[in-house]
Amino acid sequence: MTDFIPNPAPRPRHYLDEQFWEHCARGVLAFQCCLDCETWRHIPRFMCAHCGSEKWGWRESNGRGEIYSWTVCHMPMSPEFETVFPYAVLVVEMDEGVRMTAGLKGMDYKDLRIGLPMEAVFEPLKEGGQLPFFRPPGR
Amino acid sequence: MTAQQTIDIRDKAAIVGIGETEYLRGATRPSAEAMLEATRIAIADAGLSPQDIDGIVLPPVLITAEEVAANLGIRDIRYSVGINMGGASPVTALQSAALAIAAGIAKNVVVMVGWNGFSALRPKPGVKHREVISIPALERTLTNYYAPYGAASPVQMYAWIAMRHKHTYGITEHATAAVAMACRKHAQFTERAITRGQPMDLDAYLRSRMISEPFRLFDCCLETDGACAVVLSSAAQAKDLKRRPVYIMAAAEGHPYPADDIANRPDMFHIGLNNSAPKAFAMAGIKPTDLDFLQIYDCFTYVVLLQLEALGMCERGAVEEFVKDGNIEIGGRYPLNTHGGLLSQAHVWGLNHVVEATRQLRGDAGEVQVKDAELGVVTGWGDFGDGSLAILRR
Repeated sequence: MTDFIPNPAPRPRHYLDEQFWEHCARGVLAFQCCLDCETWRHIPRFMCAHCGSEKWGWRESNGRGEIYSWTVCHMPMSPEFETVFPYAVLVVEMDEGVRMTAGLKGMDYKDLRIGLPMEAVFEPLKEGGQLPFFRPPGR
Repeated sequence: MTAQQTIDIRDKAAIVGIGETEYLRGATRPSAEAMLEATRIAIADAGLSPQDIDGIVLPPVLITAEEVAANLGIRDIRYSVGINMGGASPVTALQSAALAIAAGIAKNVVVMVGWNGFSALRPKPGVKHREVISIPALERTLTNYYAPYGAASPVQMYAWIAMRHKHTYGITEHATAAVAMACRKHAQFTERAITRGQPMDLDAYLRSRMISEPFRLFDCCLETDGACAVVLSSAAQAKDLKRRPVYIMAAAEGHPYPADDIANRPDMFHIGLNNSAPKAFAMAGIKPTDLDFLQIYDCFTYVVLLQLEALGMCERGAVEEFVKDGNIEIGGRYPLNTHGGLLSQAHVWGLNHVVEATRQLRGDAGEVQVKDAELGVVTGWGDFGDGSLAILRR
């Protein structure tokens, strides 16, 4: 299996994106959580779509989840990925209920299936910072 | 639940003119020039003159309403809007045009689309001027949360929906093959189809290389250059124009939730069309089983399957049964993409589907004419699963 080289770096639009990636840079996977109704959310938003509250905080995820869906790219769609395909891009449903897209580590993409347990692992970005990936627990 | 319509658009507007340029790979002119050619053809087809046009509805293409007016000599634009729903924009534009006509704001509205999707979208040797299409609704999600993992193209993101659907309902490659093969078959009879003369059998489909699982090369639409345009007028005026009018019985737009992130949808298979289709069928007062043909936005085969379920042609998960045994081929009960679609005619953002639906309802579809076609549907799919439809009748 080809080793994944994370690139290009995320391009934050505003402070919500910046704060998500700053947590990742410190090796912390954190999502927003509504301080009024306790609903977790991702991607970062200014308001709680569940209760309308503008009060929120970052909460650390336990880093565990399961495969919700995936694709395996056999043809690079951007120049940065020309040396690393085939590679998988996952949708992982976290224990907290939010879902996130991420790359795969530590297993053959041919064994992917819905519901497979996963845990987050961080990989350094060339430009600095870190990007969360997922691997089977303990792998 | 159907929202209360304060302006009833049912049967108030009709498609009165259609225009297409040549579809090719290797255009040497800007897409703006091609769009103006298609527009001139559509206006002439309607028997109107450019100065009769007073409304312009544009997807996010590389021409402005101001440029269109300046080129065509339109002195008084009464209505101009831009639609930002990617490939769903042209069908959404029909809703907007019909609304402007029903409200009496404009009399003759033109909708156009064109691009150099083969020659200038991506860097290629010899490309002097790149033509890049903007997707403002998705930019933040793409650049922050998808692209860092190498997910930079629709083929990869729609694959997340398709992969889960396929595994949840046990859909096989025969379902996607049926869509690809129907489109390719119809393209053999279509004058402008890029793949005319290149028939495809099941073996060829199954042998095509994997692009982004579960999508093979022949699950993916063509990349082509060209433009299309249609002119809409009031139903009252349409009767007296040159061509048999094709009436907009209903039109609606729909967005999935959240529209800007595929991963976090409570129900990943609830696409925009799930919201818009019931509204349009209610407006038209018909059922999906009343339709004589289906022109379904086919950027990828699996996207067609998802839309057939969302339209209500079959239950969720039952689409493989629906598309098999020639049911969606000419001569079958629900001929689909009788021009070959984006998969086998050309990628003109699905406005070529609107043009084909118009031909069918005029009775001008030649060898792929659906016998006694009276009612048809056109869908649009764009961005992360936005979905529009128009129900048309002769």
